[in-house]
Amino acid sequence: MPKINNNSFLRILSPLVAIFSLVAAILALVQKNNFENKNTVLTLTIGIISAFLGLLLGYLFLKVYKKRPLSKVFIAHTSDDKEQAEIIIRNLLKHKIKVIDEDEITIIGEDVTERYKLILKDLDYVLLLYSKSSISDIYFNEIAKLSKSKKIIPIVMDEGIQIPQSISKFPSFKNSKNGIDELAKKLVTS
Amino acid sequence: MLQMNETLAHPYFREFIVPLITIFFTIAVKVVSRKDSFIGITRDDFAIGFDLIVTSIILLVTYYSGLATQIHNNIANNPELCRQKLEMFPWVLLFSICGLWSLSTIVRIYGWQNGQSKKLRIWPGVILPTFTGIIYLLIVINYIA
Repeated sequence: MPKINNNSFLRILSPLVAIFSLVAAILALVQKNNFENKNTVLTLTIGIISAFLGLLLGYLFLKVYKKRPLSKVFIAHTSDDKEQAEIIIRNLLKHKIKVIDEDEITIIGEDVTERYKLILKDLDYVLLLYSKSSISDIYFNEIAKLSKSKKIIPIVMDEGIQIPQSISKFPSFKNSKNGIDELAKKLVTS
Repeated sequence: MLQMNETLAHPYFREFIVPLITIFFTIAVKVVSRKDSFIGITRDDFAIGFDLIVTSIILLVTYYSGLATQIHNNIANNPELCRQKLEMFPWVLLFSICGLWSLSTIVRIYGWQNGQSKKLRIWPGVILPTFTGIIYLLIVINYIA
């Protein structure tokens, strides 16, 4: 017996069922309603106008509530530094800096660097968390190499870490409350 | 100055203010509850069709429950009309849920951009479900009125 492709089946079936069901539901409601006593078209037109006004109000609310981020920052770290990275992210978010965490673009079985290339053009800065574990991490170093076209900010996580020479020319910050506050202020004012 | 009951009883309140408030609050609550790291406006913020359809179905179920209670307590103004309406309830509910389920399948299959992107497509992902939700909400509001 030939196999039925489940997705192809749903591709054809779902629009048909949606159209049939919604039209049937609407007809059932309209049939028992007092629409015949009123100007149905006018009622629906008023409703649609109000709906679009609702959408417009929602859009204006969005514009006011969710301001554009002051900076878009990517934070690269290893799994060992995850907790520290989360503290840094929370501090930067307080200053309306949008932070994209490495975890957000990581999908099991997929190359992180390929996904990183896709978002790289939208970034303003790249934070590289240098620690004992990240300094020798292949993926971390690959991301550092790909970020050369962007403004790089190295953050020293552990004492005595030697930042690679190609990165050491960028001003670095220490992983302390003062260090991160100073970084956030610089990102906001830059 | 209009009294509160006069304001609520005015046809324009039901036909104009209720859809406006429903849609505005659906977007606003969605945005306010969003994670702080999602700054800016996304297509997902306007994809409120499913929320509107679910809200409409809940309104309908509450309405039918009220009708059934009226008939049970013999306080319905027009028991025959109420019974006729109640006969339609299983069909309306069945078709509404089937429609909602199929629409969500359409969005799952056709509504997302290909490849790595997690963005919704503008027509099948945002406009189609939102427009369907708005029409369905308007009809339900008029029906239960």
